Amino acid sequence: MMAAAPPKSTVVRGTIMFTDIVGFTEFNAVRGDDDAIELLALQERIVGEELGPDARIVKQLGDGLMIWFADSCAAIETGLRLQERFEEASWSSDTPLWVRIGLHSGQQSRRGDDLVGHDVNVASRIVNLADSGEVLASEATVRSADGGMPEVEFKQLGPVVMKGIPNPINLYRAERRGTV
Amino acid sequence: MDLQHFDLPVAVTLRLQSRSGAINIVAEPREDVVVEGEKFDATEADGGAMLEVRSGHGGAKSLSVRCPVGTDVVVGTQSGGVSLTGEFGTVSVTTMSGNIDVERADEADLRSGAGGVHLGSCGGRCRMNSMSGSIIAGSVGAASAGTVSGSITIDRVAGRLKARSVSGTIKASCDGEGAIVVKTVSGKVHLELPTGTALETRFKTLSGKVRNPFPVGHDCRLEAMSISGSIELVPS
Repeated sequence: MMAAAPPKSTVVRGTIMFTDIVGFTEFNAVRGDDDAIELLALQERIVGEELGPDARIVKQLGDGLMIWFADSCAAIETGLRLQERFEEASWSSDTPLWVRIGLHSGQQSRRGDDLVGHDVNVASRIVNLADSGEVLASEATVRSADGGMPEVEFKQLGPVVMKGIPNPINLYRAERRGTV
Repeated sequence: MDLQHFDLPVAVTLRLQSRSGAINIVAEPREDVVVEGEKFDATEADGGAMLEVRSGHGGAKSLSVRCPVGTDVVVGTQSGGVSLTGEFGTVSVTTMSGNIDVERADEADLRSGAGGVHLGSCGGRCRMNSMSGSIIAGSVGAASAGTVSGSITIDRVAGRLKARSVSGTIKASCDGEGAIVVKTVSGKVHLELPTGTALETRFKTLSGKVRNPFPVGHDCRLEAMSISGSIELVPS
């Protein structure tokens, strides 16, 4: 009897956000597991409060999250808002929620509840170049926003050649206008 | 080795990329741009205001460029090191693992995943970031620097300073003319400020020691956060 062919994946379009807590391993070593779990819970709580109806947490990745947004403007705005909330939380709690965020828009393939594909891989590379407190976005995300965010400034960081990614990715740092 | 001359406007922007090939740029008194390398691809854009250069052999070959003083530069590599000698305008360098060395820029954004970052001087704002490499800068107008395990050393910050490390040491001398925000998990913080600077401070540390001999006042705002790293303020 022949094995059934695997179901074809469903392709969706959207923006992938990766978050990563900077220094989580060191924090865990210094403060212990209970505080580390508290830090993760704090991140999750804030993200949950800021996500709109057209976004979902795809999965947790250690100290980071992979989040899907239907709309690139919503992804950028949420990224900036999350950084503001993380900053507030870092000062008001005993936990340094120093998070970096990377965004990339394109197509993703469903695999159960997961999303996979080249554009997911690109997003995961982008977050590695962000500093804590930063939101970095690919040109695809900035173009997808299509000038719909006049209050946000996109500063070009240049063409970045990433491991395993054939073509250079033009990167931008998203900032609210008027902030330094 | 190929050699190409480009007669471009003085206000030219260079946009260069490679994978493992090193990129060396020299800014000097001249009005054209000279690119030297092996089988590189060069394209003028924006009516000649921008020159885009890709290194040869899929980015494996090095590039040497000579350009006018004050040129704006955007560079991206995977592992190739980037060296900028002379005085540049706005500089942006991003590399996954290469070292970055910039002599002088009006403004700079320098980030490396694993390589070190060195900035000689910067008249305006600079942003420097490395995950594991060290960050070393001379005199800068205002600075934002972040590292995980590398150290941060800045000889002089005229304006604002924002520095963050996980386990690396943060060492800087500030004029006290701009707000200072420093964060670390377990790294040591050593900040020099002019004697007698009246500080409006906000410290938050769980187990790190704080040494602050400065008077309270409003000359300069300083926020420092640490989990276990010590914070030491020293009169200069």
